[in-house]
Amino acid sequence: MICIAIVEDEKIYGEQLERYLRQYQEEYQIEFKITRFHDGDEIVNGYRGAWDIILMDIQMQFMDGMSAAERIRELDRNVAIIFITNMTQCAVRGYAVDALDYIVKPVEYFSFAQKLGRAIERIRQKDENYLYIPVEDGMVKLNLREIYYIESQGHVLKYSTARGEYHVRGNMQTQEDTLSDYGFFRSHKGFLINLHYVDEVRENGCILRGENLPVSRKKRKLLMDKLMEYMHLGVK
Amino acid sequence: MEGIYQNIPRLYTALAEWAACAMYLFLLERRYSEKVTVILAVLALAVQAVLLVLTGGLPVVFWIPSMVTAVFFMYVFLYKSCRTTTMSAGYCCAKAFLLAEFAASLEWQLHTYLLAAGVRMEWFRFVLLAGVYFLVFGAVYCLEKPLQTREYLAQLSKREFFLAMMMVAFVFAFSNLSFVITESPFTSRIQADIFNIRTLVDLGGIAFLYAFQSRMCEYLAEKEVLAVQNVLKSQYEQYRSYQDSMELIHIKYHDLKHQIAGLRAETDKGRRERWIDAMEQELDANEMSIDTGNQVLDTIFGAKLLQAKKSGVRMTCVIDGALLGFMYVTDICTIFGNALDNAMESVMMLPEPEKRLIHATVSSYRGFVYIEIANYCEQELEVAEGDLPKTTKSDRKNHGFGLKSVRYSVEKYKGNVTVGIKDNWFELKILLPKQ
Repeated sequence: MICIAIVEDEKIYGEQLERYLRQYQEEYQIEFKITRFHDGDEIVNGYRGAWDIILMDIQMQFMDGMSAAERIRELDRNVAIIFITNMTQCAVRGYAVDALDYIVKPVEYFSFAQKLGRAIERIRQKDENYLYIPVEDGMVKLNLREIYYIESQGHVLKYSTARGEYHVRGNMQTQEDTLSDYGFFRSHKGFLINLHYVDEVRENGCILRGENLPVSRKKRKLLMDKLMEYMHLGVK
Repeated sequence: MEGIYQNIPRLYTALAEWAACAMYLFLLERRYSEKVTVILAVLALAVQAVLLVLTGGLPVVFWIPSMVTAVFFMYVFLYKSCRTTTMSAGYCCAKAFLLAEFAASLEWQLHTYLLAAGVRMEWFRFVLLAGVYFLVFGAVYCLEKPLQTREYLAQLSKREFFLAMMMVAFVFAFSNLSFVITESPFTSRIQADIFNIRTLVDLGGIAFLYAFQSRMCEYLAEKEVLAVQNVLKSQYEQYRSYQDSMELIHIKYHDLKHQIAGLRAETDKGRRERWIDAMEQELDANEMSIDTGNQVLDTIFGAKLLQAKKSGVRMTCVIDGALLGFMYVTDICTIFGNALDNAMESVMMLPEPEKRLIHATVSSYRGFVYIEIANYCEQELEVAEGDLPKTTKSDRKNHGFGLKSVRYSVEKYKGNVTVGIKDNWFELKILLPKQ
């Protein structure tokens, strides 16, 4: 189920968006939980972070959409914000609040559905995934986000993670096969890196959280391509 | 190699090698003042002459190492006296070496011919030597001058460099094969033939290198013309967009006059308020200039947004233009001008106006700038060689450059470009390292 908030002060537009969302539900068999707000301050006051997508009007009476988005970003870095506006000028600056996109009024169903579809695709990417690795006294459950990179050291794999290092017997190829769909990339024979943490790509290496890790010559272009794909999904 | 068919005196070869390098000093930017350059040149001539004369008497086994040493000193001479990179100095050195081989070989061939014909005067040798070298190097100088040697060298790529190197090595090996191996289909035992082969193969090699270089120069010039055309086009579009907005303002001006008259006449307060609200909204909707944080982008997107509005295209953009501050204006124009033109042309082919959607993003992600220009598209994509799609336009001669020049611009900043279609969206994605 996807939780969507509509923040729109004009009743006709608010109703129209709700109608479109219901139509989308029918067409794509996705369940939405829709909440309506009538001004920016309504959603900001007592913000619960319970939404996946916020459809936000920019021009509103008490608190405009841009300020509301700023306040929300302070509390919630993950929610996808889509502005609904007739002011292109403001919306272009949406990057400042990490807005995903905007829809220009009058809203038509086709473009609405396209943009919503892209937002949903991005949310799906953010689903939490875990990896279990055996340690001396049992198993450790690691969120994939916590893993920076995996280094092969003979028959042992070194996991460099937010919780420290783990040395576990294992095979690089198997880990590559399982993790490559989740934003990991084999940059070198001995390294499987989390694309999320790549800061820079250099001539024959990459900077990952300040560490210089090797990238094989023929993998450099592929790494750039993978990074692009990763950024396209906007999983920040 | 007896009798009149003696091989080229080593001193002549040294002179030819030195003269070829000296010719390049006129074509390249010199590192030091004239005085220092002259001293360097004299020194180089002395070194070259001593080296070649000393190694002259060595057996054939040492012939290749001594040639390599000679080339090395030519390289040092060029690199030390010219303001140049290691690669372009290497490229010039290779060419100079081939030229020297050719000049020496040609001179010696004429020499032996005249000797056989009975000309035996001592002074004649010097006239011939000076004449042939002067003519050869003079001619090459005149040929190279218009090839913009400096500009070309500045843009010399590794691939071109290695290609030229391979060519020179190959020509050199081939032209001297007869001196080492006598039994092969490409060699001869007759001295006159051996000299002939050497001169002609050297000539062929030089001709090939010039053809190659002039083609590369033309190619670079084409690239530049294309970029300039793009800038001009976007400037023209900007002008047009100003013209269009002026027209729009004139229409609104007359509208506004009527509206004010109407408002004056309106007595009901509530209706008056609503009227004013409606006017305000309309004003916002007609706000056309955008502020992305980058003036060049403002111009390009301003023009395109207006064009989009007129043709019923829904174009949205979330752009942090300040991120592109490190890029040259021409490159920004090339990338966004071409990408947006393509997107616009693509969506205009859709019969349903509500499907004409374009979305542009410029955002920052760690050490990268991520650019994405996407448009709704129901066509299949034909991918050409080098993973850029083939042009869909019928006029293949003049189209299909767009994406190529985008890639060319992006690669200048060590970035990457990919294109593809996913769920009916054509996406052009660019990743640039921040600078």
